[in-house]
Amino acid sequence: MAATINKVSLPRLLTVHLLLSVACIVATFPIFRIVAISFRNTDTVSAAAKSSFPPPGEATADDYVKFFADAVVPYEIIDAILGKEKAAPAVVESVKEEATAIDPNDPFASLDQASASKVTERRWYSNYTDLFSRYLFLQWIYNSIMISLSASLIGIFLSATAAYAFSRFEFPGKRFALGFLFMTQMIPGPLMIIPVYLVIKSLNLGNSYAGLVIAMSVTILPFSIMVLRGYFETVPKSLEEAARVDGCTAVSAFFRILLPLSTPALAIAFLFAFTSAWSEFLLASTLIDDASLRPWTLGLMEFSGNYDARWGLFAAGSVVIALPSMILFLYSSKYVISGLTVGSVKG
Amino acid sequence: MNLSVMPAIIELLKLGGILLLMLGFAFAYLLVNYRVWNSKLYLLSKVLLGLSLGFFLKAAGASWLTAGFGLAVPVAIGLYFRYMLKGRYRTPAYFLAPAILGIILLFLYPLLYQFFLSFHDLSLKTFADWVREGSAPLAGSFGLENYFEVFRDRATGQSFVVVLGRTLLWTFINLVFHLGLGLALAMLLNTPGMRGVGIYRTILTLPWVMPQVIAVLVWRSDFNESVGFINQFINVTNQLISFQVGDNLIQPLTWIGFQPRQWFVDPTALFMAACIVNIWLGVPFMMINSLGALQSIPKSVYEAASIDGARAWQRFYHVTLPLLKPVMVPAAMLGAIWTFNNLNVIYLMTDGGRYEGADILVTDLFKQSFTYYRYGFAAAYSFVIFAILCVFTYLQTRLTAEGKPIPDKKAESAAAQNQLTQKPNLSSTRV
Repeated sequence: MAATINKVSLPRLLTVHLLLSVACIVATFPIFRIVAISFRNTDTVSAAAKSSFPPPGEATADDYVKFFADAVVPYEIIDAILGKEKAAPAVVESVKEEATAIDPNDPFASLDQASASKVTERRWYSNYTDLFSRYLFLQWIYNSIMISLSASLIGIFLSATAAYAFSRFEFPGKRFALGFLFMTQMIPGPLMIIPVYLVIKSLNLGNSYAGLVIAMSVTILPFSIMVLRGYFETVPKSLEEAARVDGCTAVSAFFRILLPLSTPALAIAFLFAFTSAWSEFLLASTLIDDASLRPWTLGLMEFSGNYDARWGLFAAGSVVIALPSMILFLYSSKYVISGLTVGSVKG
Repeated sequence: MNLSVMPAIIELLKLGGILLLMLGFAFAYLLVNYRVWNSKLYLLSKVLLGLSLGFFLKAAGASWLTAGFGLAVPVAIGLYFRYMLKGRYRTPAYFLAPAILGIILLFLYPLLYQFFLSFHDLSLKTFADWVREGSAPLAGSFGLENYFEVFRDRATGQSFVVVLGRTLLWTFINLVFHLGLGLALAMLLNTPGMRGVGIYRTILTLPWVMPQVIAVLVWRSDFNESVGFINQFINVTNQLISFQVGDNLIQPLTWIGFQPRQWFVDPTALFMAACIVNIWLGVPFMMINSLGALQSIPKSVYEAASIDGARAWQRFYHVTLPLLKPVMVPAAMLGAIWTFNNLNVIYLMTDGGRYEGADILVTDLFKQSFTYYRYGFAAAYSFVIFAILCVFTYLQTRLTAEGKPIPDKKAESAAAQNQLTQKPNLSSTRV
């Protein structure tokens, strides 16, 4: 009997692999899709417009595979590699014809032609070049980095001090405060937007980094206080007591002993704070009006509007933002797990 | 490149200055109070301070209520320092001061403000009065009109019961699929003697590490009726699996509902699409959680069970599930709250509330306050939602605690583990 547990038969192993591969395909499919869309040189989402599927009865499994390949692999890249790059979809060509048909006496004809020829020069990477040259994309990323970095650093500092007070001292109202912190997780989001907007406005911080950073760093507080408090309680109290006996004050015991010991938990809390601030858009959309102060979330949402969707630009922007953040979070998830085990072993 | 650095640096300096000022104020306030609480003139000076603050507020045009607060707060603080604290708890107070300042400013004050607003009739119609006179009229004769209005059928949307039912359905469907699929994937990954577990796990966590906004917007582009991938895929599959019988074309898959839909126009389809997207987003979190729990179950337990003659499903039901419970129950509870309060997915899928018919309570609330500008009503509405959630959580903790008492230590460490492994994608909705 025990052998049946430890050794798994080959067919069963194959089934497991098959199921997991299917799950992997489903999990990664949208990621392949944005990469594919971002390399199309039109704003259409799909490739099926290009090669039509054969009518019922004539379709084979081969066509089916081709359909999927079209959806996932950007054909512009294949064309570019094979060297048979024929640029420009039909729409742009018609623009060009119109441009040549314009009256030669028109003083702006040359300008029109120049712009038309510029339009036809789209390549498979045009979405990316457009993104950086025609839009404030770098500025958006810069704004996001600035806002989320400072918000999470400030938030972590404030929550570390508060968590220290919660884990090491007794004071009246402690249970109530902890209950309140847990309760804030249940407050529906839109409830807070209007008063927070009023507070920030009355501090004269509307439409600036400062207002958004203050609002976000406080938003982060309850969750990181709970995480850090949980970790601080696993660090033995005797270490600080020894330092106190040697003449350390409570403040320097906190900064010199507890904080260095709890770097894993601080890193985890920072990571979570950064993640949530990085992809936050509701607060930003209410507090910020200036186009040059927008974080990337609002910028990308602008591309994906309903009536003038620029899916190509949106996909290119998504790839530029999603890939680094995904790599960062995958890389750090190892440390999250190791930080976990450290805490639980000590507890 | 429009990378203008200078204004940003000035902004950041300004921010640093403001923060230092606020923190310094909080610390200095506590310091002064702790120094002088024992002097004879302490209470007298507090009363004088309160009086002057009250008169100042009244002179500046505030209402009697605000002026009264201005009078009462310093006096209350003075009494508290003098007779309750007596110089105790000095260190924790210093440590807590900055966080409490922030929480009062951006959590407690907004809550109280919204509570105040929920009894008043503040909408676009009365907004001018509010600006002019400083106070909106009470809603109804007792001020409770907004709360009654919540449960009434509204002209500007669906009735409360329908939206509540949809929210519960949304929470239930998502939770079931998150738990089921997450557990299934974790058990597949936990197959002994399998290679490539690390690669599979990394790939399967990708939906979790992808920024949520991007993920939802990509799905939305694929659900597009004419150019999206989903409809094309359904069409192509139906073409492939079809039979010509006489003049009729038979597509058997359409009989089970597998057919192209107008995903954003048909409310049922929109709700389905939102569910699919949220399930895709949420499965990895449950998978990681249950994988960690599964790996922590010692093999000897299974061996003992199989020696006792337990079959595979018996081992699953009697060994795996009970041992998973302490980890999965808190995770499921948090997941339920988050799904209930999940603004992002439905907000983005309906393009900011443009498409009707798939609203859950939170997005309906958002619509009431930012599309119809019914601020007072929205405040009352949000407190009703808040109360529902509180009851929901209370019942859940009661029900899950009733079964059998989980050892404190274990539950605590499981809870801590959950707090650490989860991703606070909620915080953007939490605000």
